[in-house]
Amino acid sequence: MASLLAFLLFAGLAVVCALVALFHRSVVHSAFALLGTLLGVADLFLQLGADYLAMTQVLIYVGGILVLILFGLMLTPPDRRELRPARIFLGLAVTGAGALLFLTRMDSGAWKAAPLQELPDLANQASPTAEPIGLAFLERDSWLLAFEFASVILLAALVGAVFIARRRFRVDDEGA
Amino acid sequence: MPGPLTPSDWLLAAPLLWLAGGVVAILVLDAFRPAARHEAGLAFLALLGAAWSLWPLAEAAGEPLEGIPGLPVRAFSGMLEASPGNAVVGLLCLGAAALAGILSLRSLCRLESGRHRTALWTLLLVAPAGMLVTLASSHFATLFLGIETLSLPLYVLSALRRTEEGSVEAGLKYFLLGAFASGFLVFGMALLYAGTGRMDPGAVTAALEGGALARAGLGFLYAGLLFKLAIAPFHLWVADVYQGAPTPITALMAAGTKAAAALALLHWAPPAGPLGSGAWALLACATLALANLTALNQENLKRILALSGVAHAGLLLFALAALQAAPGSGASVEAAVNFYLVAYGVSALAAFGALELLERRAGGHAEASALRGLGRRFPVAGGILALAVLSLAGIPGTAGFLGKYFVFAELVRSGEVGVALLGILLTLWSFAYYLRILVVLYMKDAAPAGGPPAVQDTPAAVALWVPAVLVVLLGVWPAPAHLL
Amino acid sequence: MDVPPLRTAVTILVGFGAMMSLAAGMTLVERRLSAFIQERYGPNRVGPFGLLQPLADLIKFVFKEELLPAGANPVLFKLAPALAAIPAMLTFAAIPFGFYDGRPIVVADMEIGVLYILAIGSLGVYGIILGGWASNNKYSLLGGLRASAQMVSYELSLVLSLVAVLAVTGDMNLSRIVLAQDSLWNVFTQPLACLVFLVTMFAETNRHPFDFAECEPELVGGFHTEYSGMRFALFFLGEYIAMVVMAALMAVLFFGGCDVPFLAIADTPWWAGALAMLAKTGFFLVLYVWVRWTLPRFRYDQLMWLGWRVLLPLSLLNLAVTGAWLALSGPAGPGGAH
Repeated sequence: MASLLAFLLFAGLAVVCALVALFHRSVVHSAFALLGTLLGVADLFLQLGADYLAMTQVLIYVGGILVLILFGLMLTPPDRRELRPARIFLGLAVTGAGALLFLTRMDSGAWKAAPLQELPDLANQASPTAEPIGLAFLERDSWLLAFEFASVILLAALVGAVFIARRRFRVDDEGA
Repeated sequence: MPGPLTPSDWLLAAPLLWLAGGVVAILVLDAFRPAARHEAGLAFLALLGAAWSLWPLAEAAGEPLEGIPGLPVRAFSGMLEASPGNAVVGLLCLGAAALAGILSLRSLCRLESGRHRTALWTLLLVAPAGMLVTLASSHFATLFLGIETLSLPLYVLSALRRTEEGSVEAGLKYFLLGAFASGFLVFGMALLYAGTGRMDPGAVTAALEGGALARAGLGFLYAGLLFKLAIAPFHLWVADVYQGAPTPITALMAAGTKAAAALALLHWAPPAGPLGSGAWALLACATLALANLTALNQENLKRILALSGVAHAGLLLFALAALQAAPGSGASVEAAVNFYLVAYGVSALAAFGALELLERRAGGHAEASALRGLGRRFPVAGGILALAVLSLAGIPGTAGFLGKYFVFAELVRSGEVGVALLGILLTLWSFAYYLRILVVLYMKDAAPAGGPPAVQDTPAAVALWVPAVLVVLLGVWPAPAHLL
Repeated sequence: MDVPPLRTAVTILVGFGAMMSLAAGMTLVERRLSAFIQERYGPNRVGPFGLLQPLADLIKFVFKEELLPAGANPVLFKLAPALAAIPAMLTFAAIPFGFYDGRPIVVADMEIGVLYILAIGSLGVYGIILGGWASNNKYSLLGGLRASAQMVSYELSLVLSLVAVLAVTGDMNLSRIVLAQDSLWNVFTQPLACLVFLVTMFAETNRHPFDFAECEPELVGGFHTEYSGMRFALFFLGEYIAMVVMAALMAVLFFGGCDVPFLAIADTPWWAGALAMLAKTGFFLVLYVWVRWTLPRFRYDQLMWLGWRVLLPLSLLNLAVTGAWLALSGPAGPGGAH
């Protein structure tokens, strides 16, 4: 019961903050709302017994990426234009109609997700996850290739970011 | 217990290791010897090494490889899976990167006093690595990583001419839309995993039998893939990005990205089932029609060629429709797709490469008005462009014709004669704008030479002959490629 | 792993009390020690040797008027000080202060203690950014931006230096890291990591010589220019608690935690271990003050240069050497030192 309450609390936090992030007029507020979403998700990980994942989520998304997003936003002049309600409704209507069409056309069956009752108690019987995750990353049979290849894309992102952010040289330098 | 790598693991990982090794070598040398101009040499070495290590697989169309049980080769417990035909398409991707590199030697490498050579060459190595992983992906992890790894370098490379608005716009547009598409892709994977508990292509089969959750995931997954392939509702970025990006990069995008994404789609295509062939055929026809309609009104040759790429991607979906209509035709459909990709790839490489050379003569413009009559003044580049355009249109005797022929043959064999006829009609319609390119190239009143005189670019002029010869060779003697 | 609830409750109470007293005491130590370094008296009137000065400060803060600048965002403005103080307090939960009855004296003996401290500690920057932004003041905003850039930059080196320690120990649980140092402290096996950690420790807590967020000559008070009263006090409380946690982490990770030199942890009485831990933490706290009043402040570009071009390569190099050494000296068994 307690875990169900905790689940509802943090899932609610994540969803509400996500909605604020979507609809708030100020982008900085939206970014701060993302803080709640990411922390809520981290807690859901914890409740599922994934302690390592939860902490990594906080460390990387909350402590790193979101800070950089905020950093960028604060250096950007604010956009004072407001979202017109008509546009929001139009967007919601189109999305809703699409979703409805999709769901009715595609399927009459049930939504097959893990039932809610299975969620609780995972946190209490959880064993440490850091070690299995570390081993799985280095085992040929599980995630070795993905783990190693991820470093290639990160390296490319680094090179690209450095290139984009690099000081511009004068145009008349070209062809020299 | 972690087991040692098997021969098949090494076979599929070796090209990636070559490319990644090249990237690291360039970066490390650049850190310690910034003045030395070693980047291009190292990059070509890495590309050659990758091609050399991929060659045994491409060659082994008939007989099994030594020490490796059975084809297609599965590596890392099913993370990657590649047939010899896939390996040939992989070679095409490597070749596209190499050609883009050669075309850049005298142009892009010299931008901003050559200060971003490092970025250019490392990213030119990472992109084909991503393509190789994408086209062999048989796990959500490799599919996502591959697509990201091929896209990310291209976002940056599109914006390589930082002082030109069009180039920056292309990079930004590609990046924003691409990030959105990646979001769709991952969300689809998450839903599929939630609904089926699988991360291999079997998830698609399971999803079709499963609930709405998994099916919604399937929809998102295909939306993400179709974006990369530029299929009708998701094709709007193509013209702008292809036009704004530097032309050598456009060539890489056209040949490599399309090939990788198409093979990924084929790997992850649903088996014959409730989706039916109708959906794919409809998408294909819509894409062809829209691309043709838009291309007719374009003034910029790069935009026309970009939209021709959209049309070609649409044509590929006919192969998926054939697969749906006739289950069990997997092997021959895959062979047709492989050949089609190679044929389109070499044609696109020749077209964009020749266009790049002509563009330089016209002061960097690809407008029809600026390129008027240049085919007469520069017979070699103009001739190669004309040949490539004929191949893209599908004139008999060129690779492009055979590519289209094989796809439509599959469609007819699967019993969808009506769809095939419609597709052929749509293809004939596209002749209109291909013809327009030829007319512009050989118009009487030539445009005045604009801009500063272009640098003589011997490497590019020589390298262009390779795709040009291949266009003709594959058109008259498809046997080696159709072993695929 | 079942710890009696009563014991946990006592640990929380004592630990929280110790943390708050250390932080409050630090305000006094800082002022007295700075006075000593500069040959002044410092606050010596309230109580014997000025010992009651923190209490007097508290009373002053509580009764001071809380100002809300015009145009400031009221909700975020009020939320920011709490966001600065709470993460720092939370990180304290993972610090083991010794062993009692064979079990670590710690609020939460987590398997991933190091990661927990890093993750929660990285939240502290939000209070600073938020405070800087919500104040509607350009100095505050600049201070907040500087602080966030600095903390993100130095966090990389911090984490990388810690990874080397984790690799040597083969564990992320802080109390087991202490036990693993029973015979040899990590500072001797990982001197470079210790050095990097020492420098980043100052930067992560925004302390001198890296205190650009509140660099008086340029930015008035930085992110807390507009704050007064208890909200201002909360910012400072957060900073001082973060210092305490960092000093304690330094002691635990590199200096054996509660390990008394030349004495096995199992044979040490629990109070001696706790005292040793306190003494080590105290030493690094004093070091904070010592450095602040001895060294000049860096320039901002020097700070970035140091972070990205010296500390980051150093910690990477350290990690590579450590990795090579571990690989060559034999396979590391999972979950333990060897």
